[in-house]
Amino acid sequence: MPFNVIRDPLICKRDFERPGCCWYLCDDRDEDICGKCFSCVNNCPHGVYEIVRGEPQPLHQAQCVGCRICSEMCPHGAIKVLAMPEDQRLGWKYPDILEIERKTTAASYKIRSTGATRTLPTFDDLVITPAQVSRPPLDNYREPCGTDVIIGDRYAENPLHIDTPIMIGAMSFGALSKEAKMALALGSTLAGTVANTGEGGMLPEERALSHNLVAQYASGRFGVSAEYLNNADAIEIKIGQGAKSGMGGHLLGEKVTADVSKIRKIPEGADALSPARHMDIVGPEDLSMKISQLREITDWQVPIMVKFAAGRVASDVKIAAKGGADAIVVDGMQGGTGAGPDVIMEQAGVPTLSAIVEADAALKDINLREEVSLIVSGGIRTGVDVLKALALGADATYVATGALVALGCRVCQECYDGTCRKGIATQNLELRHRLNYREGAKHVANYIKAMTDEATMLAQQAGNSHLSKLEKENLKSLTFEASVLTGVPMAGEMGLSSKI
Amino acid sequence: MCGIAGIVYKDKKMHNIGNDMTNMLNALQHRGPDSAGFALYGGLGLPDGEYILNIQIDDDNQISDVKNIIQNNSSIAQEEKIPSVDDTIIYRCHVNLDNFKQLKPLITKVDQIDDVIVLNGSHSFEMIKDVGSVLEIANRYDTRSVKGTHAIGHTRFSTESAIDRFHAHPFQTYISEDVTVVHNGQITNYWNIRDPLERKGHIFETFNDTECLVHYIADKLISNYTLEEALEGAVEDMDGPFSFIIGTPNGIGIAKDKLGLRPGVIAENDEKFAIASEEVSLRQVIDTHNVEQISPGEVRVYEI
Amino acid sequence: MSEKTITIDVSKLTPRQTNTKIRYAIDHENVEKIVLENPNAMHYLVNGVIGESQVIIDGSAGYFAGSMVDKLQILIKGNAGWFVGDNMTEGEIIVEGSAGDGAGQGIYGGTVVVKKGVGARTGEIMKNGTIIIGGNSGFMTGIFMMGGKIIILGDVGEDLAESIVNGEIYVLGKIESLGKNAFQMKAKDEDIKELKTILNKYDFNLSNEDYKNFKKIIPQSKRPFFHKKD
Repeated sequence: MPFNVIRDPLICKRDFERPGCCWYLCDDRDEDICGKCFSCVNNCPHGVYEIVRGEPQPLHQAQCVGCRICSEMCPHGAIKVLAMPEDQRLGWKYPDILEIERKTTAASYKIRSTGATRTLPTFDDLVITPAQVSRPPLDNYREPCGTDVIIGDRYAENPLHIDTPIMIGAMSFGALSKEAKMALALGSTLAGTVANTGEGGMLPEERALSHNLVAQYASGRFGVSAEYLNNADAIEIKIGQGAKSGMGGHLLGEKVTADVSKIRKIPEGADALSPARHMDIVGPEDLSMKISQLREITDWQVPIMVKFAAGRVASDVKIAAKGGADAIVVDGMQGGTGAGPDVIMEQAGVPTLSAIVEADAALKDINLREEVSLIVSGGIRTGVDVLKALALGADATYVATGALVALGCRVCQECYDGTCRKGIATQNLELRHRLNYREGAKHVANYIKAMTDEATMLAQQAGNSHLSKLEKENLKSLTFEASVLTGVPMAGEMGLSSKI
Repeated sequence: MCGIAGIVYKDKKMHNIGNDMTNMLNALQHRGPDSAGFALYGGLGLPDGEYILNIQIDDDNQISDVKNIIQNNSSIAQEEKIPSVDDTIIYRCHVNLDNFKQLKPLITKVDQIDDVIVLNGSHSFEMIKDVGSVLEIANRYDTRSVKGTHAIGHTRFSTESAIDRFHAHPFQTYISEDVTVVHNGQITNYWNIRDPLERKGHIFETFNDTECLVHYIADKLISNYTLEEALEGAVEDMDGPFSFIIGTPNGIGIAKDKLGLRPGVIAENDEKFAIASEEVSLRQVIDTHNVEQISPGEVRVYEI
Repeated sequence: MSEKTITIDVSKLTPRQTNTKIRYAIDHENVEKIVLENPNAMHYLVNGVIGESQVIIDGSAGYFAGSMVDKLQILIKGNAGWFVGDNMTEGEIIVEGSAGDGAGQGIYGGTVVVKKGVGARTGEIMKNGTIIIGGNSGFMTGIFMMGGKIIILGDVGEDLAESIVNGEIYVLGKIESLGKNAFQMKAKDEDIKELKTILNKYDFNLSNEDYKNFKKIIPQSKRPFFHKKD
């Protein structure tokens, strides 16, 4: 999608003769270099701006991804970023041509961050049917609606008890800054939910600030030891993630600083590339043995979860359930990542919408739905998304990109570069100072609380008194695609409620 | 996907292969909770032209339909009924045919009866496969008392196809007499392999990827390749992780994929040769002081 | 009077019961030596155990023997299955027989010694520590190695040190072929001196001639995956 970036020169210089000073957000205020500092130029992650005759000009509009960081950080409000309609040139739109040109010099695939940007059937295609008299609505202001969830009580002696079905997803230290990890950890505690280490090891600060912490066990085994696993409240075996299914985590050497290398226990500056699969998990019996091994190491105390990228969902879910998993996480193709190949993000995987339904049906097919907790992730942004996910069959959801946006992320898709202007996905100390972890934690907790409130409000107007009690029957579809993907009937069709 | 095991007695005499294989598979139970299967060679001692059929039926009434069809083409020598899970019954009978080529057409005719599935037909080996744990199946079919010269077996953890006795291993082909396969892994170019074989006349019974292995090997065998050459071809042509064992009236053969993604260990002494997914299975039947790993891309044949 | 040595008959126990008894003995009873009898190639033996004691497995161990141990010393008198010593952080594991694939995978420190041969992918994804193999090692030995040292006294299969990023591999026998990013050179004098110290400690008595034949394999580039400059 192309963008038109407009800088108004009059407004730009409205207070001073010299344009674009970002002194109020300056990391290192020095009046001598001030004259050459331009907020838009410095903060645009994609090099859209260039200095022409002493003034910043948005020359390279094709590189704009619409993050609007320039607009946000302009002290004068001089910048407008407008979305424009796509070319009608079928397979030869301008971005397609630019990509071929990029290939001619790079000789390799494109790597970027966050997740799929294409059009997909999403939760927005479904609506929740209100209750009226065939069943009564509950009063959001006066009557209660429960939100608590228990995860992983199949075999674990200490399952996870959380106050809301919104958990914070796995994002590694290394991909994220220490401040971001601390904000997420504290935010999860304030919201009564759980944080996740991601595949970069466990920060002591993260453990101290989070009441509930999931330790992820991924194919690179970075930072893993018996101590790491036993310090956690749950363990998540990461088989894959929706953003880049069939591939492991990518952390380029630029982001492996002394701190990161200490927690991951790898040399500084080394590329931390996780293998595409666990070297010891090739088939179902291997997963079953891995689950048993981790249980032995943690003496059956904590839930063992298995996380899949949504692909052959039914087969994978059945294998994990039969192999003994306490909980299964299914990550749809809309999931995000710090770094990954663009083509995998856009073209590999299945949407979260269909993955939830397929996973739920698979567990029911082998009679293990009541035993195994089902967690879904991939593009969850609002309390409505959460409620629809629960209605489709999930027990809980992960929010990850959304939590970062709550910290200030604008989804500029440049995390892999390590120059995150918000101090979230960078190891650069100056940039990290822009993120105050306590403020961030409050923002994340408020976000989760607001989503939980949205969910309860919608649940009650639909007639239910606990978020877990919604079912597919509470939903209707507005599009044919979403209906076929989920089995939810089209609005206006006679649903199950007509069978009285 | 599973656990596999094989055993060959070098002296060609009758040994307790049923008991051996039951113990070997029981040691591999954790690799496959869904179903288990045995192909037990050398002990049936059937006269030329006599074949055993194992037929899954839903109730007794279907037996007369089955017998009618069989008696049109041959005679029934013996019969037996074994009750199994979910109220199904395994009807087992001995039939007389002029030659092996008549077996598959007869099986196809019996298959046409509603709710009747012929699980296998064989001359030199006994096929036992069912849903449940190894010990449950061993009790149901009294596998421990079966004798013979060599055997292969399997415990199943289903990957992508259904869990029922029909999809349990071993799989068999009718193009070459009495060739069976048990497999640990997933053949990822299944359709590429299946398609040309089907056009050559091989009849596939299921969508289970393991089945293409036995048809592929049988195709090579009737084209005058040795078992070793057929297995070498398989290592080149098949994609995905695999360790599989082929059973023939003369012995067994093993192949492992080129990336060595599935396990296989071997032990041998003067009396016997044993192969399995894990050492814990080998120990049931042989001293494991000198255990050998099968290397990636390696092929081994043991014929007696 | 505290018990210094105890014996546990593992034949009727589950892995959890075995590991619980071992942990209890080390944490509460100050036991210095634990002997496990009749292990019968059981899986997950001595998993996640932390403490300075010696465990002797009198027989063969199954998969993941000694996984994630810290500071422990384990002696396996028989063979070990796949992934022996998986993710160990510190300590010592000696296998007198052979071991399967993935021996010493992902270790962060400590020493894994297998006196006879091992299977494929020895020392895969290891970050630090030492692996010594008395016999042959299979296909893709040292794949994705990120640090530490592997010493193979026998022959090595194809694709040695495939995609290695950091670390050193020393091979005495034949090398079938090198993997991507692997670079072969002759072992230097200081390397050989170190090898002698390590190998003598574990009773591998090689001649001076033998030591001259060691090949050394290291990564060609520390950043082989993204075509970036070192």
